[in-house]
Amino acid sequence: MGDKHWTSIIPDSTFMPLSFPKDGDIDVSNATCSDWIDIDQASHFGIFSSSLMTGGDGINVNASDRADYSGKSWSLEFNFFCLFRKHLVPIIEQAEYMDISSPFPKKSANIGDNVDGISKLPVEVISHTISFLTTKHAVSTSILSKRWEYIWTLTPNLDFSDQFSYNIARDNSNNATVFRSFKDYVDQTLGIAHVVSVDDASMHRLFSSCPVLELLVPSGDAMSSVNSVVCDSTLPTFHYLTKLVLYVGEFINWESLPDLLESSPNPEILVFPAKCLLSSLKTIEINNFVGMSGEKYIVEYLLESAEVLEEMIIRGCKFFGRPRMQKKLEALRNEILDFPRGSIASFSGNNFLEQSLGPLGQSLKCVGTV
Amino acid sequence: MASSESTTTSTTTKVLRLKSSDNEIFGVEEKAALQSETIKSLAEDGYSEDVIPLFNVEKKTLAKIVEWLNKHASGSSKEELKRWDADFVDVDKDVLYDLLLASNYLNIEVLLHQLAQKVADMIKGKKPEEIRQLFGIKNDFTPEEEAEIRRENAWAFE
Repeated sequence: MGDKHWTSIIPDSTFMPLSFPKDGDIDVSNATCSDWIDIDQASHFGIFSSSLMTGGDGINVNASDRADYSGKSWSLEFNFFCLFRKHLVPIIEQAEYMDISSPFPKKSANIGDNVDGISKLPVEVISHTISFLTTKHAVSTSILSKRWEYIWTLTPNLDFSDQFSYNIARDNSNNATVFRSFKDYVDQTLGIAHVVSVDDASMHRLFSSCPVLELLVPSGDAMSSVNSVVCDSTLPTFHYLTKLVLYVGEFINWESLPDLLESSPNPEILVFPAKCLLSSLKTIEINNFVGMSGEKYIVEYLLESAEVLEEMIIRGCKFFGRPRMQKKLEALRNEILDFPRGSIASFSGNNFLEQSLGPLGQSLKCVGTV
Repeated sequence: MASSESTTTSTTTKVLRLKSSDNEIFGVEEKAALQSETIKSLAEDGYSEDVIPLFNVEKKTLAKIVEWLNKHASGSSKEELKRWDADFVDVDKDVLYDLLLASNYLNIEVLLHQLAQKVADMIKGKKPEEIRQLFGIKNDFTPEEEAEIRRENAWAFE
């Protein structure tokens, strides 16, 4: 396998998932009929120097098309996820520890004799298992053994909702207050300073550790941390994040929401407890708006639910500058202005800039061309 | 545990022949077998008339998998399937691992999900020490390394 082939198609340190063309001419004749590639071989690819890891096992190539068992002409689709550099070395070490050059079928023979059965399972299977656990519990599996240390970072879920009940139940153990659910907690403690459960540094690490997040349920703390992470401008992009659930009271740091949304280009579901929007949210900025139905839904929902909302700034995506997007854009703008309270929306970007704003036009924020 | 179902079929139903790594051949109705994405793509690649070789699955595991495939293609009611599945995954840990590996390899999403859920249920509510003990996981961290991880993610170990 030539270095050139790989390095030319892998952009350096991005979080984009990459799909290799199915008919790509990739010779994995060393890899037997399983999905494994010898670590020594793999280290020559140049992919590791550009801080990548595969989506499955450390160096496991996820072959969705196991077409030919002759081992000669393989047609594979590779899915790669990139990770931060800091994770790279540990992952390679982990891979070596796992002795992954062993062919997959001979699991009992070659992966260290003293390794237990569950740890011999492929990382993708273990991470799938871990995804059924709460985030707190999932993170705690990092202590089990070296094999497990980083597996939890491949979880598609970060759910901090349990942090609330946990901390409150503990803090109130003396007077035996039991919060059966988060809702109980919100109902009973609105306005009370929240318990700091996850410090900024930990949250920072969490955010930057999980590139394949699909579901994020941040606590108020987590949202504050988003803010602090944003200040360091290191909030990763959650390309896979499709569901964002905000279980938050009035203490939430709303300034972070636009940042979080900006970092999540593919949200499909956004869940708020409507209550928290009633009295606090005044400004919303949405960046890189491309007008997908999910985005329109978010805009409509926010306009409808956030009763004290004074302005909504929508920054158009770059490609709105292209002439053929003009029509679509115009339609979008009108559509949004027709939403209930849509008149408080303002638009910026090449084409959104200085468009009509309705009665609350004074709230216009001209943010300049994108 | 339900006994392995017979795979005798009417003349109109197509049967795929699956070969385990230890050369045992199982006949499975196409409809049942195609719940596996891996078998599906192999069948599409022209293996359907021939024997489909599954190099990564041993006889005893493939028998269980075939049993599951047949049950889930049999049109049982949701409640019955649920009960049946609960029994199906109620097996020794080693069998569970083999089934996990096989369903991952065969890409049977529903089964993989059930099995992973089963393992997660075993982990739930347990402290790291208890999980290690349950699965026989050897702690290969030095005390210093372990302390460092606990310190880094202190909130998760409270």
